[in-house]
Amino acid sequence: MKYVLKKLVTMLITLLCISFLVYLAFDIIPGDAALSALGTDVTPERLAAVREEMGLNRPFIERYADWLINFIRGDFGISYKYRVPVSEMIMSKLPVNVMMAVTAFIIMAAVSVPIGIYSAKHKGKGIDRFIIILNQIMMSVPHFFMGILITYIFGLVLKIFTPGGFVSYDKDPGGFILYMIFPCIAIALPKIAMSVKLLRGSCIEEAGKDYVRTAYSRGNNTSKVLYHHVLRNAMLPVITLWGMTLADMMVGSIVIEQVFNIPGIGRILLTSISYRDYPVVEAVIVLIAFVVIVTNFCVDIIYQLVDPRITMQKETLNK
Amino acid sequence: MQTKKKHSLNLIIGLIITCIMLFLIILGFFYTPYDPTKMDSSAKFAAPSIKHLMGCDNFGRDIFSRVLKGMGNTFVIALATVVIGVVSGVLIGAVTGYFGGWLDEVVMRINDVVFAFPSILLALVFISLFGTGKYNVVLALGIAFIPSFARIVRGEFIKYREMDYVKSARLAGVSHLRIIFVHILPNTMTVLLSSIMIGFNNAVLAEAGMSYLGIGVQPPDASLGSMLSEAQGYLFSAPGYAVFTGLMIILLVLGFSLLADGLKKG
Amino acid sequence: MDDILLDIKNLNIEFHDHDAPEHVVKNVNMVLKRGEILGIVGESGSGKSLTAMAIAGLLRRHDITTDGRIIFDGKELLGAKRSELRKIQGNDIGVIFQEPMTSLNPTKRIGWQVEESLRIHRPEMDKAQRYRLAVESLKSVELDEPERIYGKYPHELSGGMRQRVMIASAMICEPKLLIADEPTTALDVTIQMQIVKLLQRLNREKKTSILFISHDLSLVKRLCGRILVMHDGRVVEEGASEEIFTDPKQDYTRKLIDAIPKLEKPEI
Repeated sequence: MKYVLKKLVTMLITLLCISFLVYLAFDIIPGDAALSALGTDVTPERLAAVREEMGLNRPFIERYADWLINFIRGDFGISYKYRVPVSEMIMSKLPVNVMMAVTAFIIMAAVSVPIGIYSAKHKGKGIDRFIIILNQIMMSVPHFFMGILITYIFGLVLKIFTPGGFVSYDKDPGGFILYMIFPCIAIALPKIAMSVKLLRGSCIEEAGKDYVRTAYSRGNNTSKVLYHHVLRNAMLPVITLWGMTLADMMVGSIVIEQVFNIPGIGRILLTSISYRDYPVVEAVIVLIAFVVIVTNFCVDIIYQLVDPRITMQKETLNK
Repeated sequence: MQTKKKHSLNLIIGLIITCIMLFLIILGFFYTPYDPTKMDSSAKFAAPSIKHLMGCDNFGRDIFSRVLKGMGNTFVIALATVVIGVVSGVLIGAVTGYFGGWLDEVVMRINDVVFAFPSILLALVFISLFGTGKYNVVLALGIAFIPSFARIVRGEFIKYREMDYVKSARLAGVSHLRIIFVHILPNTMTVLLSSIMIGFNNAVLAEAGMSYLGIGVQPPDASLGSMLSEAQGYLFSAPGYAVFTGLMIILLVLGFSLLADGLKKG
Repeated sequence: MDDILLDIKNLNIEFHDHDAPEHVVKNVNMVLKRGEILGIVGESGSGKSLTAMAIAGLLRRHDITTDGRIIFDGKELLGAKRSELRKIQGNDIGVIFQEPMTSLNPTKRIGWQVEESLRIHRPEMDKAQRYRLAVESLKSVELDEPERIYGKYPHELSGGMRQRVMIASAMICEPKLLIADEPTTALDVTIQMQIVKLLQRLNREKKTSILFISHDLSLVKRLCGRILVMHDGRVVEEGASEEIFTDPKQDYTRKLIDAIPKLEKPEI
């Protein structure tokens, strides 16, 4: 429990730090926010008025505190370009990305564990070699190129789905799922390769350890040794990888959106970057960072549940 | 025996792929079969042939020549990124790992915060503040890569600073600077080298991703990523454009990851 | 009932993981009677541990070939089917290993690991019965507060405690033979003695035969009635403990005896 609390505090501090750094960066570097909101041809009086209205005359810390409190309430400010609340713009799109990332994650977990175990079990045999080679290649394929290949093969050649023909969930749930499954696979494939490689290696490493010999000496058969003893230990590094993976998949969904023409948060982010619409960029970045950090926290907790040694190791490390 | 053979096989294949790619990149700096920007309306969407090895694009430009140029850009950007990341990472990691203390605490906390952030996201913040373009991509990704290198180097330095040979060097009055760079740094090379290669791959993939999104290299410069984004529009009429461009990314990354694997285990 | 529990005839073990096959155990013969404690001594690489692992059925790998006969309780083990062997492992033969720090699964609770043999060989038992037996077994290896230890993880225990846990888990099915492969080597000297006394007591109370493997002659002398000296894969000498100590037949044995540090000798 102490461990969870400690991790929780660390997570909150990290969140605070990131929000502060992002706010600081967007406050200092772009120059005058009022100017960028209004454009260059503006009277000095109007500029001063807007500045007052945006609260730019107040001290930095005060503005940051205000912004943070509003952010937690769900008020992300007003878009410079579209003059609508940022929350309206992004909150309807964010679920698409979260859903893509989560689906890709589930696909990855469901596919990579059996393949990794299978490959480790058949170490050195033909099928294992084939999996290793396939893995090496898959890890080198950028997910957006995988998306392009999938579009070409499944969309244009096999015509299983219509490229660019995104349908929203409320209109046609079946069509939506059929359309979304391909981008999710594109995001998942390189990560599947990575986790298969890691799991295979760590299964083989664990299988050579002393406690496995002990397990055999008690009369366990191979599959019992694998599922009761080896797997749990072998999963530890994989869980760490998965923690980082979910964050990558979140970012990956932003890129893959462009490949499949999905209206998600990525398109808003990209237009906002090119128009220098800072409140939008800021909000998207902080939101994604939030998702990433909360995920990391969850991974730390899960890791501790799987590996009872973790609390003690941390303590001895600190000493 | 069996496994040993396989590792060196990894190394050999990786070396071959990397050498071919490097040769093509260097070739691209000095010579391309056609001017990569010259349009030839008669050769629009030409299929791969002896004349045009990878065919032609929508403007009748020779894809092979464009791939060579684009690959060169990608390579230079990735290399510069890694150099920034490694040099700063090694300095930070060496100093914090070797001396420890409160400086180490503070720097590593900051490192952890940055590390928790996906590197592309960090680069996006940077790009949105400073604008797009080749140099900003290099800077953005370079900074984003510092924490991972700093972490690795710090770990190695913590390991080595407790070793007897370092202690005796210190007793003999060798300066800290000399111990760091002459006595310890060379020993971290094996670990560092394979992580440099992995870092290079990540840089290639990140740059390609950003250029694909249109926030990396800007026209008239082209990199493999921006070419892919262009090629996607002609996927139906000229699939070869996208396939060949993507293939180059894959080969570039595959070569270095095989090398890194071979080095780590061999 | 036969008086002989274990009879090994012409055991040969060869490794094939290098270019040339390596012959590591050569024509070993030995007999272990019921209720007896037999010691095998020899330096590292003498083949003593491999012999023990062969008896425990833990050498079944494609790069190792074995030849000869291991007759345990009337059954031939070396050529037995894996499924037959598994019925004996943990049930009739218990094993404790050299490294108590790594021989337990770090992610499972002590109780779960101690009970494992019961779950495999006594499927008819329910949870409560298993718990009772596990706690009893932990108690019999002289661990304080066995109920508390039951719920702990290996990393929370010291090396000596873990080795006791290993013994408890090896003894829970009350096997006919306990193979102890250098069980004290990784432990402090004071704890070594406690473990040896514990093994002696278990042998007396449960009538379990023990095969005690060690490179430490003084420990073996204390514990075992009969000693086998192995060198370079062969049995070079065999006999009652006292006999071997007072009148070693082989030069090698004499060297081993001379190597025991004597308290009378002033330390330099």
